[in-house]
Amino acid sequence: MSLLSTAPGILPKEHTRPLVVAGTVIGLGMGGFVDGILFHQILQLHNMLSNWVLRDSLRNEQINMVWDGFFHAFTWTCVAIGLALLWRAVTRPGTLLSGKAMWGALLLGFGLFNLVEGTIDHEILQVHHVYQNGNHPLWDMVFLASGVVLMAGGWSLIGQGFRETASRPHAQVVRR
Amino acid sequence: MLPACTHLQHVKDSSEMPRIRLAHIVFPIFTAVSVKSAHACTVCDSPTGHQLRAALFNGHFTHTLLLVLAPFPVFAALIVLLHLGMPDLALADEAPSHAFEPTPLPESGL
Repeated sequence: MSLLSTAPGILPKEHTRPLVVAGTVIGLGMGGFVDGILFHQILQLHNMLSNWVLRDSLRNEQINMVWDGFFHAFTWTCVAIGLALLWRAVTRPGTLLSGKAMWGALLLGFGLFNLVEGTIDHEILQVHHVYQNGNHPLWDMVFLASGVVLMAGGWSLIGQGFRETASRPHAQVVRR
Repeated sequence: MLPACTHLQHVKDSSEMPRIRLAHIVFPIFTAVSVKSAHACTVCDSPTGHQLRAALFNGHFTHTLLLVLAPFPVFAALIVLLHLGMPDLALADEAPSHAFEPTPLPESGL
């Protein structure tokens, strides 16, 4: 295994960035699916526009479902793009492969989704809240906090994963 | 006269095997889409479908679509920032392993 090293004890980002970016994009899309499947469909706590189009009739439920579909089409696209980036990463010579770092990147993306979508949709635009009919400020704050925790945990795992992998005498590196 | 081949007796004559015809495929599909409940969709020619399309594809459609998709440009920008701003990783304090050897990376990058 040979890795480019500009200084002792430093692992250049060229070896880690491809996997992290790919995993983050996938995690972002998967986070959208967790929200969509768990909160929109199974628990039915909210829909995409449930604060603007109240779910008090079948027609309004259908309207919300269509807008859910538009949103989830884009989360699906995120996963598709992430998979393409992942393929590119694992076939790129020099990419350091770490399962723990990959999981960390997924969590980073998931947390990014919660934080950004929670801020824009729940706080700024207020198109919906996490728990539409309940104490929604509390639930919205918990949702945002979960995003921060996931991002912090994911970033930590990324660092741990790459350090552990790089320290092994036969670390997995994509070769030419 | 040859003895009966008992191990072949369980095999059915090919003419007894059920043949899948086009009707076996078309009929269930036709039945499914002709049921009244199937008309509660956004593209169906039904009162519900008409109401739904009128409520969705009105003068506010583009505005609503942009708002619904608003988080995605932010996601994209943050991913780009991650790509551009990803830091080098500091390894453990001890000397790097002998497996690390400076080697130029190929030109193919992200």
